[in-house]
Amino acid sequence: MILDSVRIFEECACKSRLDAVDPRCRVICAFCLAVTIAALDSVHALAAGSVLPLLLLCIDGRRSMPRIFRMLAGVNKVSVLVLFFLPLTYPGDRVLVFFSADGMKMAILIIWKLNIISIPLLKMAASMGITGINDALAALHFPVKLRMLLLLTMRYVFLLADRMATMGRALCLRSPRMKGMQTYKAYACMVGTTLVHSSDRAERAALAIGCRGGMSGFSRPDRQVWTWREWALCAIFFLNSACLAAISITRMSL
Amino acid sequence: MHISEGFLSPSALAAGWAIAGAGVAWGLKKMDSDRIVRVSMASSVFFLASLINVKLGPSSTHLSLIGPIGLILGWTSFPAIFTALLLQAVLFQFGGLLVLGANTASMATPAVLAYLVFGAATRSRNLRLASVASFAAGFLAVMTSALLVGLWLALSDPDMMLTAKTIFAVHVPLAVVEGVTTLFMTMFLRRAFPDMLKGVDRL
Repeated sequence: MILDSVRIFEECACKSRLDAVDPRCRVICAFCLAVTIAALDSVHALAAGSVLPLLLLCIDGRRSMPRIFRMLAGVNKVSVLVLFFLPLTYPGDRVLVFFSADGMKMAILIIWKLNIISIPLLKMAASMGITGINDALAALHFPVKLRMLLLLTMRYVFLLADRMATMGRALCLRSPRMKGMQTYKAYACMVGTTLVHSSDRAERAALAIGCRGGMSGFSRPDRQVWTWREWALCAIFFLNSACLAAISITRMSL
Repeated sequence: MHISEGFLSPSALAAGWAIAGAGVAWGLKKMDSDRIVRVSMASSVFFLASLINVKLGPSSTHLSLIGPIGLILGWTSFPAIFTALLLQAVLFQFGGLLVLGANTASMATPAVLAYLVFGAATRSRNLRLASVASFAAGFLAVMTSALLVGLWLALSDPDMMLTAKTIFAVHVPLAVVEGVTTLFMTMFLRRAFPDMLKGVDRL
């Protein structure tokens, strides 16, 4: 399951019209829009705030829709829980004895926000792939150690996933009907064994990296070019944020 | 345990990013370049732990391993958990990118606290003390994390106080499972690789 998801993700990366845009610009614009939407709390402002995310959704036409909808389905798993849980625990007038009307409104508002915040972040930042995110972090002057950690973690996820799957299969064959404490002990020992193996492996990997010339040659991100196109995109996103803030303030003062 | 996009106000998001930023910066400072591989391995284990389902009564839950990661990594838990959560957000849409700061703060802070409060006791020669400390590290790490999640929600909207309290109560069974798992894991590591419990910056 893990490897499949990662493969799908990597294949889908770098297949968008947005790939021509500088990764720094993509990250800045996505976060600018997401923060602005997070600050909105009225239906009118959210309706206005939904325009740009919906336009972004249409950028690559039908080609990218299935992938983005699959990602949004993943994001919306929590929505069911919110729709049930929030009306039960939120104050306000009760409908059908248990459910709060205000809680229901709040749940719908949160799910709406969740989706329109997720669209720009998924479309502009997450869809760059790990290498794209690494390039963006490098261009935004994030520490080299953090970028190395990101790339190496991604690499070792595959390695340890295989090892854990093998040990999980062995565990099921050894004792298929485990109960109570026995289960927790078996899982704890499995994770413990993975940690010990990973430590041994890390030791050898560190030596191998040292032989290849150390971390200095590990990741050299592409040189980024910031042109009028990036300035224009930033201007559109910042203008949109300013308009949304103005709408929100006007609604509050009315 | 992950907070999703849309729940937190900008002030809560900013506070989350401030704590996570400070923690990650300090963790990176404490992490030597030759320890990056070891930390990345532990980060991968944290990432994969969320995919292991463990039976809990009629239902099932997944391990979070906040306590064990804290005991093993110490201060470097912050960058390790930040990286794992970033990958989870990008690959599986767990949590989100905007709430990454708050999620890192609510998981890495208890991990570091577990290391600072219980780290020495889990390495103690007194087996009973080590067992109690290991269970407490796992149990309290999850409860502290649930408390911080509730705090972020209450900070964003004071009307969510009851929601926050319910989230805290719901995490009690998970915390017990985590405590028991941490206890067994620590006992295993004490026998198999005791140096691992010293914290990665002391290895």
